[in-house]
Amino acid sequence: MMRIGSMIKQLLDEVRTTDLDEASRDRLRDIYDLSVAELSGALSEDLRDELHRLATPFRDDTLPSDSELRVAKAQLVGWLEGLFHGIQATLFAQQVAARQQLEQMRSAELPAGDRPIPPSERPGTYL
Amino acid sequence: MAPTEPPVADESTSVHEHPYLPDYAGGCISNVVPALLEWDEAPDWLPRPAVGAEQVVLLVLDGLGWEQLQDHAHLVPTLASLAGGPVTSVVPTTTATALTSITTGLPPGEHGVVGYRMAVEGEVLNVLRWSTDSGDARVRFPPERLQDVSPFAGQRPPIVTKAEFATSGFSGAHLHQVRFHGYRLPSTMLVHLRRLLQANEPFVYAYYDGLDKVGHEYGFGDCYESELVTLDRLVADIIDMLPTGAALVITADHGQVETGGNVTTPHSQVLAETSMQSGEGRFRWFHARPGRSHALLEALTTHHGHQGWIRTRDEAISQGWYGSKVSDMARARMGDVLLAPWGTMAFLEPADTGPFQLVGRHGSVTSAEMLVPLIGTRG
Repeated sequence: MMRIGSMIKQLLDEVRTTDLDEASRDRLRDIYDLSVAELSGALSEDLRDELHRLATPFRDDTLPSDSELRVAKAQLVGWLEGLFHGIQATLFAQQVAARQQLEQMRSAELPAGDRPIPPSERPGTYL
Repeated sequence: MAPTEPPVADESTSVHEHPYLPDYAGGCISNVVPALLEWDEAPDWLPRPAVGAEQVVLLVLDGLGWEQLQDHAHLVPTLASLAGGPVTSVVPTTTATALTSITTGLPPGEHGVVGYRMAVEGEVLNVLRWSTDSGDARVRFPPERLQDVSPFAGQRPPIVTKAEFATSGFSGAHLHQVRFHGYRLPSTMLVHLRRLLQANEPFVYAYYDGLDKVGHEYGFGDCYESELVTLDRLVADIIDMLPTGAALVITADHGQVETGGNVTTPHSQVLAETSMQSGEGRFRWFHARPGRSHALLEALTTHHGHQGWIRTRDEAISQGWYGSKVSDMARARMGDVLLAPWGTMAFLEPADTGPFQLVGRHGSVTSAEMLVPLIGTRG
């Protein structure tokens, strides 16, 4: 998923900076459709449905314009970035929860004062 | 100063009828930093050597009560020779609340750090350890948001305190936005102070916690006396290094009393009306079960009315225990009814206990805990 995301981003930059001939636009349309299909395979069901609702496929009979391609790819990049942020936040919350659980287990096992908290995290206690 | 109190049944405690309340408008630790840093005119309770000094070192000696200083004057010739007298601490007479009053220049009702253990969002936060039942609370309750008043009038002075307090949640609450100089040992505290004075810092805040620790662990015996002698030498060394025109001002957060094994569990009828307890052994807050605050007050009065001052939240606030203004936030962190013993005893709660059984304690509103020195000298 990360690889496809980075590929689309690279392509978007390319579309932004250059005028594309017909062959390139045809190729880009195929890449776009293929990317969406590939991404769908890596996603959970609810995310796949969301992606399909948002990323409407290009029509096969006419070639999309430069601007159409830009808009479609920008939309996909934006959606993917949102997805990555969501994943990062979830991972962070899971880490915090796991650490708290670990600390609770340690404090339940050991008497106060013997808890093996790393020195960098162990503040002095006022009395 | 003290409001009228109802008569006390037990005649042996009749001398304790009146709580010794803080003088928030006058000589109180909450006014020391404002008087040194902000006020145009020096109040009469500020030691004369501090008036007009080019540099001031404010040294806070945790746990040094005025009465204990008088009782041990023969052991501390340097401290006993300094100019000044007693001022009051704040309510409760506890490190978390009192140090925050010293650094912010505010009574507890305004800075909101109202106790050693206080109610925050339905949990009890141990302020000195910055932890709740579920562990370290520095992420859940960011210290500089829980107490957001800038200390030292926002002047960012250098702070000389123990290095291991740098990451403490309580440091974050009462010492944010300062320049932190941590010392590992008292000897290196002297080096930090010397360097800062030589760099012409106009104001330096220093903190030393040894006496309070020894008092808690051993009471007023030979260990306490030995610590006092050592402390007096430390003070003499600081005075020796003061440049001309610099002043040393010494105060404390609270005094102590020796409770020893005189520790009582609150009566079962009191506990039956209680959903949780906060505060500490000598300033116990009871949080009533829903709708039971009146029954709680009655049970406390019946079973502990002969042992200490009992006040509802509103009574203590209206009688000025926490200062003339009490914010909604501060009010929400208090218990429904407080019990502060006047004798040398404490009320036990298992959740309070630390690494050792405390022999010396504080928190209540007796003169031994409330009066602290405000004394000083010039270099």
